[in-house]
Amino acid sequence: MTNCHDDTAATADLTQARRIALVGSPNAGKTSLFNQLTGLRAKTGNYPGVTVGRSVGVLSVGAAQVAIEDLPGTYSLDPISPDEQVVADALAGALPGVDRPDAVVLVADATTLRRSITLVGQVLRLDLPAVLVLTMTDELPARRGSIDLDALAIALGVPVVAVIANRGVGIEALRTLLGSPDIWSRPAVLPPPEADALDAWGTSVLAAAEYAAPQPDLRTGRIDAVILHPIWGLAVFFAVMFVFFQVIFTVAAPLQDRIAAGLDWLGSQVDGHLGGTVLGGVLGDGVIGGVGTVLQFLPQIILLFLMIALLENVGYMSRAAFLMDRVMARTGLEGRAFVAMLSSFACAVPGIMATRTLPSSRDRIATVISAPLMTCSARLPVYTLLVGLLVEPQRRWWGLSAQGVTMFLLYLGGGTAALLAAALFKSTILRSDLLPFTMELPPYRFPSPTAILVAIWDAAKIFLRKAGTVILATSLVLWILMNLPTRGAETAQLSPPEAAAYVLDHSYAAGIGRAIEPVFAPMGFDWRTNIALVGSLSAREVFVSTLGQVSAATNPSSPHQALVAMTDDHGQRVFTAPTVIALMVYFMFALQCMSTVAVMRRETNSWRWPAFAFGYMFVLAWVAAVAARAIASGVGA
Amino acid sequence: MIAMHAVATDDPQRLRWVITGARMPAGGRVRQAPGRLGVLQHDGVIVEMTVHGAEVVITLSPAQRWRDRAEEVRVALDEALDMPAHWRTDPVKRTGELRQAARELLDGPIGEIATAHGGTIELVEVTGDRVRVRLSGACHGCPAAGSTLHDRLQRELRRRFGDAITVSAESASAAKSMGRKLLTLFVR
Amino acid sequence: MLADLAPGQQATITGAASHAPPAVASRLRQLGFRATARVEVIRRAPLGDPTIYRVLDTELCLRRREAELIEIRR
Repeated sequence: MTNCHDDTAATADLTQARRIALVGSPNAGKTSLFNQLTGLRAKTGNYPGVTVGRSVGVLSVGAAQVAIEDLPGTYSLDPISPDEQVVADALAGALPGVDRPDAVVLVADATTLRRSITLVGQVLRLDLPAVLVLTMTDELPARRGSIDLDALAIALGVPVVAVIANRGVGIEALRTLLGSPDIWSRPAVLPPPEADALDAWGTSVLAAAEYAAPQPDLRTGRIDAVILHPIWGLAVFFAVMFVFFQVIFTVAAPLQDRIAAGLDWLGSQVDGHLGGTVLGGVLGDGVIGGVGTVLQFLPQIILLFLMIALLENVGYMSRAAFLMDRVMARTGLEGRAFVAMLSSFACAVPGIMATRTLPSSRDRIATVISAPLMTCSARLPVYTLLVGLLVEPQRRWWGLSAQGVTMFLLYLGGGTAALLAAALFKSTILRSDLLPFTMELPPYRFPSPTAILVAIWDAAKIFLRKAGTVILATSLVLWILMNLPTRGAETAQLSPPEAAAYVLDHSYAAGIGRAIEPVFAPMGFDWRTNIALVGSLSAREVFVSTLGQVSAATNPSSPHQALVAMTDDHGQRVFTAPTVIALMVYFMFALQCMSTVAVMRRETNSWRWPAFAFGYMFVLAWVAAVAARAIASGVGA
Repeated sequence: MIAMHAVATDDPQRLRWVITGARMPAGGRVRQAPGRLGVLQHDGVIVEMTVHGAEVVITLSPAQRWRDRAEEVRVALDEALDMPAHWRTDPVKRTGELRQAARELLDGPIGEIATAHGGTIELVEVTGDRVRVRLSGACHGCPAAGSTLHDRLQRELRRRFGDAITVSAESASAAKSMGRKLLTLFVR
Repeated sequence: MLADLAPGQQATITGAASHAPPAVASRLRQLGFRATARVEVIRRAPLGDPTIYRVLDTELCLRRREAELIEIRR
């Protein structure tokens, strides 16, 4: 029952943890409520065998602990796709390894109750102890709707709690209630099973509760008149996209530099005390280098997630998806995949994580394995180097900087490839489920700071744990491969850059580089370039510094001069135009980034898809690079 | 399909079926309902059935359980309410029914609401179509609770017995509430 | 059919087309496109598809292909 005076409800202390599931439609404010109840103590994962994410958190009520599970948002317990089947199965206790909940918290948006009352009825049919939480209860009267909560509780036969999640209203009352599902009132009879009768039941219940539906939200209507206008809307859209990228590059970059500086300092400290020893090397280049790479990603990841979370919470994301749906539909995907693809222009990691908003698992997988083809920011240093080797800075084509045009073409190539790949997969191995494209456009609401913070925190946690460990491990392994065996005796007389080059040329990695030479020979890569390719598996930017080391450049971060002069074992110049073009094309398509692989693994809940992605992209890169080289040589570049 | 839902009473064998938007049969004790509903009566599954305004109060025999019979009754009720003219009902003495209904509500859902808000509501007397109740405890001081409880009770009773019913509430201290009324007049 | 309505127009839904796949019909109904519900066409996307509809107090978008499966009465 609702309660406006001192809380006098008794708390029944429980000795064992109760399991309570949150059920509700998408956009009902369920996740917000979940965060309010469990704080940041939620564990995220996947349901067994599917790509659907699972969140379980803990709530303390008195001395007892309650396990709260945030089930995926659903419109009905009649599943249409395998993902929705998960909710129905979880509630029935039919999922392996997932116990049936002891009680259910139904979360419904008070402003869309006429639609969601049928879901309420379906869940009550499960005959589990249930409580109904109504969210947006402040918005209802603001839009000239109303409801009698006590009458609703009588009509339903279960307790009803009004909650305003952002302001924390009603949370305490709910929290106390969650401690004692045994005393919750239960309905006298279960709502009818068949759809028409259930609709009739819902109508009757809402009539008894004197429910007056809200008027359309005027503010949203006014904003949408601009945001979804054929001309102004698209203008706003491009402006938002522009700001999106500007922020990444102008705000993230300085932060990244700061972190790089800090790590350099740390590295020099290690050098100072342990310089020259293997331990010093492992610690300095391997560990600090690895950690450094991870941390360098962090500002970008956090910023991207901040903006995605902001746009999502305000309500703009669904509008953007609405505008882009026609374009995405040509590839067999839908409007919401646009965000994932777009984010991948900065970094595929948040892009892949953003595929969670797609209801179809096949859409999710297709986007996950295509998105890395988008030209991410890590490719930029590589492209900059290669374009510099290929095209002189002063060259102009049709009045534009030739270097700029080349860059643009490379970006375009990546973007087009991603969309084509998605289209290919969606028309062959990942054909659509039956799910028609439908998407709610919720009213514009002020974003809740908690929701944003939690979204960023979750994302950062995943990135650090998954990608971070993989990158670190890869860095260490690569360091060992590239710096052992040490050649103290042989390098004693050489200058530092020459010594570094010597060690590298005779390292285990060099052995690998020579061994895979046949594979890359058609592209004109020599074994030294191959070492750099191997090295860039941890992160694409590493390619540049490794090439620098390999070519004994005095400044490995900008090895341009050294590379131009570099010759292979036969005395031929390595970086001829055809080879450089082949390298560019190779980088355009190859999946070089282990952190992307790690996040793919997590999001698709198996190694199958990341392995497939790595494989097909390698084949694509190889074929395209060889072809590009052949064409370039033929044309006489 | 007729919109309806069932609400519990203090007796587990008896349920109030609240009907929305349908033409109701005449009020009173149901001697014979049409169709399958009538069969359920005849077979003794339903031992008592009364129509109160927009509600049909149905009591099952002690040998039956609502969890098993609800769907069947619902379908039968839906069918029977399509033919309101075919119901045979005996009108009952109003006041007795009215008093019982008021008592039930005050002992049941409306009383619970009062308790949840920290107060009590009790029946003072029922004369003809007028019901008098008394509010005390926290309800007495709270400007919202008093009016909603009174409105709620009136609404529920009118739903069953028609618009002629009135509910008046008196507070434990008449003088205090008088003063309060004057105060709100000034403060408004 | 719902697809025949232009932005600004309203109608009452009578049900799903008989040739609609049961799963799709079920989903449309769950979303609010139910018999006797009032539906209003709000706007179309600049590229022609999808279209935003308001039904049962929610705004949501459907592609033409699905809007052709919903029967209406003016």
